[in-house]
Amino acid sequence: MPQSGIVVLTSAVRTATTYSSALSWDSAKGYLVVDVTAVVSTPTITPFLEYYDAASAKWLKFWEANNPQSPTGAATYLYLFSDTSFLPSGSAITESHQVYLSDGGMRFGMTHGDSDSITYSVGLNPVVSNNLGV
Amino acid sequence: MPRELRAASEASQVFYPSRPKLGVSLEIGGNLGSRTVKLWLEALDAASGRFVPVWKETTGRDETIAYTFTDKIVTLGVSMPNARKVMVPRIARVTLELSSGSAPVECAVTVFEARSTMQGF
Repeated sequence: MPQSGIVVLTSAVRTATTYSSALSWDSAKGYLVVDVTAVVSTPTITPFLEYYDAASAKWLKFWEANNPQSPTGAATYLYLFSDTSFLPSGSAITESHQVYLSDGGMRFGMTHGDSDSITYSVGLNPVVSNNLGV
Repeated sequence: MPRELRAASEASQVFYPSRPKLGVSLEIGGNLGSRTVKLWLEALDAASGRFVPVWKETTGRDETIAYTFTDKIVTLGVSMPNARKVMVPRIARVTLELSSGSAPVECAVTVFEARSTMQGF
């Protein structure tokens, strides 16, 4: 059975900065998909990822999208993460980033630039890798 | 997707690549006219349940093109001009999108997995 992705955030109406619970992710690569299905007015969102630092008991941001998004209707944003400098691009990909994903000590966040309503889900989805299967 | 006349856009069956190198060939059978064909590789998104494009390319010519998706572009440019840097999803499908027009277009899509020397793949 193929490895399936994980639901980071289920689809819901949101108006303020939102965090996922801690994510279990055992791959060094993946596609993060932000699927926007409805907006009211002009919301602006920026996805990010955080590590948990046990010593300080704080979540620390280690990745944030370069560009905030302000969808005017349904839209899909695709972010690609890789642990190597191999970073595909193309019209289908919103942003490609070299980052080191964490297994268990990582969470997702979405900054809302204002309180305008926006409905979206977030998924993290696996790719096939040539690096020992991860 | 077998070679046949198609009047509208169509998605393939879902498939589950096991290697990071994948080939997709697109055959267009000679009656494209002024229409264009867009070929998409899509990944299943676990949260929305939707297939999301991770790669797409458009052609407006009657031709057969074999694209190779690779996670290691080295010197493929000369011998493999249609190699593309793509991370292959674990749960995938391809979609053929035809631009508007009246006449059906004869086309086919074949997906194949390619070997490399990297880590047994």
